[in-house]
Amino acid sequence: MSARILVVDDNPANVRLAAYVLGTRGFEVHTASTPDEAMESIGSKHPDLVLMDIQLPGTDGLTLTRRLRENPETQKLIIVAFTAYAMRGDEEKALAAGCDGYLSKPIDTRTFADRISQFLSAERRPAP
Amino acid sequence: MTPIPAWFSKEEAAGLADFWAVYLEHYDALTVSGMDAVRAEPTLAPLVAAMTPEQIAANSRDGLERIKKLIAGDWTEYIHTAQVQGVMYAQLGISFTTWYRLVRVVSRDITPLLVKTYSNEPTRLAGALVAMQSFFDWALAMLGEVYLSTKQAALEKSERRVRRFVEAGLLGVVELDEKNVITEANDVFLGMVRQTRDVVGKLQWGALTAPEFATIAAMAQQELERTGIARLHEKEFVRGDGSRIPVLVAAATLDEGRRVAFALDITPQKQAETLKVRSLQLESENRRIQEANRLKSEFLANMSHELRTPLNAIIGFAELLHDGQVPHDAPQFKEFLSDILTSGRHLLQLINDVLDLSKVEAGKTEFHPEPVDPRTLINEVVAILRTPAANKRIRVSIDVDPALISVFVDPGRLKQVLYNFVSNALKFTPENGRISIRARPEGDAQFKLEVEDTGIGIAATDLGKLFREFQQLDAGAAKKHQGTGLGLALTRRLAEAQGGSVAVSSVPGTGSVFSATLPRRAGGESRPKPKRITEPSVAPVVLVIEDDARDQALIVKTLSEAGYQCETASSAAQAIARSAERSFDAITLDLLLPDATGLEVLGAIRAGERNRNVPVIVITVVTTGGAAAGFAVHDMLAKPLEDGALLASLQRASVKPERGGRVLVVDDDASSARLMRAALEQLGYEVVTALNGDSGLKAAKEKPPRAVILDLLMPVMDGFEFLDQFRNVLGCQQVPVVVWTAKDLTPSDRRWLEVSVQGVLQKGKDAGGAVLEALTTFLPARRTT
Repeated sequence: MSARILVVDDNPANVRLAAYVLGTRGFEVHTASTPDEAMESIGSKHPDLVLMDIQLPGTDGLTLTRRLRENPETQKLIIVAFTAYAMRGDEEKALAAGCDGYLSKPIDTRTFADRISQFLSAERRPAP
Repeated sequence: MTPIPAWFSKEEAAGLADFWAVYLEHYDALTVSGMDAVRAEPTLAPLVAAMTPEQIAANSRDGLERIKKLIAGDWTEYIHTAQVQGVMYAQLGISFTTWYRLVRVVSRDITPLLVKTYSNEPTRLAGALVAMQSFFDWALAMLGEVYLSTKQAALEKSERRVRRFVEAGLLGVVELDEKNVITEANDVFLGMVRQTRDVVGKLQWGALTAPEFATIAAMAQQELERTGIARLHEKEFVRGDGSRIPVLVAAATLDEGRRVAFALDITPQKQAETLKVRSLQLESENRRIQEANRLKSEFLANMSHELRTPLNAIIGFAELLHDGQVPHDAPQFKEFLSDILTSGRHLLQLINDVLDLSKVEAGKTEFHPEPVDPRTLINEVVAILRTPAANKRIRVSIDVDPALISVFVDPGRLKQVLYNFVSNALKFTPENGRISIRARPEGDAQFKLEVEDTGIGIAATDLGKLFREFQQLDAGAAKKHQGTGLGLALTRRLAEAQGGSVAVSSVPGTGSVFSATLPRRAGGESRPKPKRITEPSVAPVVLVIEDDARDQALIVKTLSEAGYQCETASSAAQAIARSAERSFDAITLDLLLPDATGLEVLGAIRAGERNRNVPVIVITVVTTGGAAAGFAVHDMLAKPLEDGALLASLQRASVKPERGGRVLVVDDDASSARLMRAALEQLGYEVVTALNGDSGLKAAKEKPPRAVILDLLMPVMDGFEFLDQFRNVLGCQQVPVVVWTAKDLTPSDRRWLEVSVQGVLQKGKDAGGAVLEALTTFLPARRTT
C-alpha cells in the first residue's frame, strides 16, 4: 500500500505542484489549504506524512505542528516543514517546533519524491 | 499674687527685693537725689527740664504706686511692658539681663545718694524715680545705638560677603536706571558679555538679550515692574563679539526705579544638558537604528518568502514540463503553464511594488503636479477596473463634491492611490456589491478621496496592520486574493510623500472605507506637457450607449482590444449630449435606458446634424422585431452578446480599424525583440528588428516605418542618439516612437524623451501588453471607408 501524504499549503499552484510530483511517484496525496482542513484531513485520512507549509491563514504551520505533537494520536506523525521561509534559522525553528524535517521552496521536482521517501523510511514507515 | 517673672534669674530676683526695700525706705530722698543725678547727667537733663512740677509730681505718684504694686508682688501691669520690652531686647539682640544689670548699676550708685539726700522728701524721691525711668530709657536708647551699630557691622559684614561673592567671579551684577540703561556693572558681568567698561552708562540691558529670548525678557520685565522682582530665568546674551552665552538671570527693584540684576554664566550646565540631550538622542537614534534593522530583516525575510512562493510554482512546473513529466495532451499541461504564467505575473507585480516602495522610501519618487479634474481622474481609474467590476457585478458609483473642481497633484500618483484603493475594494467585495468613490474638499487646503465598499470588512484589531508591508490579513477568504501585500503600504507612502495621509475604518461583514487626504496643491516639479508630434489617434470612434456597467465594460473591452476607440454614455441624456458634441463612426445602443427609451434616443441622434447617418447597432434583450421600426438601424444584436458578433457587425458596416504597416523594433536584447515581433505580427504588423541604433537608422532610411519601438541602452548607438538622427530622416519626423527600456530614467532623461517620443514604458514594469496598447493608441489607424 502506498504511503499517504497530506500537502498543507494555502497557495493553490504550490499544492498542485507537490501533489502532481508525489502523485506521479505513486503516493496517495491529499491536500488542505487551511489549518482547519489540515486537522480534518489528518483525522479522517490518517496520512503517513504531512508536508506542512508554515505561513497559513489563521494558525501558522509551526503552531499546528506543536498542537499535533501534544496529541497522543498524532504525536508520531511524520511532519515535514514545507516552506518559503528559507532564511538562516528557519530550519531550526521548524525542527524546534517538532517537525521531523524541513524542505524549502522552491523545491527540486527531480529529487522531491525521493526526499519524501527518505523521511518515510527514516521514520520506519513503509516506503511506497 | 503674680510671681516674679521667670525671666529674672534667682540672683536677680533676690537683688530686686533688696533694691525695692532700700527704694521704699528712702523713696523721697531717692526721688530728689535721683532727679538731681538725672539733671546732672547731660543727656537726661533736657528730659527733666521739660517736665512741669505737676508732671513730676504726677509721675512720682504714679511711680510710687507702681513700685508699691511691684513690692506687693503684683507684676501684672509690668509684665506686659516687660514682655514687650523683652521681645524688643531679644530683637535688639541683647538679653534682659544686660538691661537689668544697667539698672542695677544705676540704682546701686544713685540709690544711696537719693536715700541720703531725700529721705524726708518723698515727692522728690518720686521725681527721681521718673528720672531713673528716663535714664533707663536713655540706657535703652544707648543699647539701641549699640544694636544698630552691631547691625550695621553685620550688614557691612554681609555686604562684604556679597561683595566677595560677587567679586569671586561667579556672578555678574549690574545696576540699571529706570530706563534699563546699565549704570554700573562688575568686571564679571563685563567679562561675561565681552564688553569694556565704556558701555557702562550707555548700554541698554535689553540689547544684550538674544532675539529669540525677547518674549521671556519681556515677561521678566513685566514681573519686575509688577512685583519688584524678576525671578530666575534662563536666556542668552549676545556678547560683544557676536557669540552667545547662556545665562541665568534675576533682577530686583531697589529704589527710585533703579534696579539691580544678577547674571550667572550657565555654560557648563548647558553643555552638560546638551551632552545629556545628545546622549539621549544617540540612545533613541540607536534604538531607531536597531528597530530599522529589525524591520529590514523582517522585510527581507518576508521578501524572500514572497519571492520563493511563486518561484516554487514557476521553477517546479517549468522543470516538470521541461523534463517531459507532463504529457502534452494531459489536462494538467495547460493548467501548469497557466500556473507558471500567473505566478510569474505575481512575481513581476511584487518586484514592481517593491521597487516603487523603495523609491518612495528613498524619497526618489518624483511628483509632477498639474491641474487635475478629480472627476476625470476617478473616471479613468474606474474605466481601467471596469472589467473586474463587471465580472463580479459590482456597482461602482462616483460622487465628486461640485466644490472640488480642480486639484494640483501628480495625476499618475493620485491614480495609483485611487487604483490601489478601488482594486482592493473590488477584491474584497462579493458579487453584486457596491463601491462608492467620493471626493470632497477637506478644509481649505486639502481634499479627501474615499472608497467605500460592501466587502467582508476588517476586524478592528487588524486595521493597524493594513498599511504595513507584507501584512496581508490572512483571515479566511483574504488569502485567496493574491495580492503582494505591498499595495496599501505603497499607497500610504505615496500619500505621505505628497504631504497627505491615509486612513481606514471598517465594520466586519458590512464593509470598509479607505481614504486618502491630500493637499489640494501638492509640491513637486511640474511636468512639461509632451509635444504631440503626431495627430491623435484616428481609430474609428464608437459611442457605446449602455446603462449596465458590466455590459458597458464588456463592449468597451471588446472594441478597444480590436483597435476601436470608445466613448461611453450611461443614460439617454448623456447619449444625446455626446452625439451632439461630435460625430461617431458607429454607435451601439441599449434600448432599455433609465431615463428614456432607446427609440427616443435614436430619434434624437438621428435628428441631430452630426450623427444623422451613423451606423447604429442596437444591442438589447428586447428582441421584438419592430422595436426600432421607423429608424434605420444597422443591426440588432441580442444580449448576451455572442463572441465576435459586435465586431462582425461593425465590419459589415465597414467601420474597422486599419492595422498593418512596418514597425521597427530597435532592441539589442534578442528575447525582447523576439517577444515584440511575435506580438506585433499577431496584430498584423510587419516587423523589422535592429540590434542597435545604427542598424535601426539604416532600416529607417530604407523605408520609414509606421512606428518604432525603441530600447535605450544598446551598443554602438544608443536610443538617445538614434532618436536624434531618426527625427532628421526623411519621412520620420512624424513617426510615433514608443520607448521600451529597462533603463532607470533620470528626470532629465524623462524630460528629454517627453518632447520627442510618444510613450515611455519600462521593461519589467510595463508588460509587453502595455507596449502594444500604447502602439495602438499612437499608431494612426486609418479608417476604412
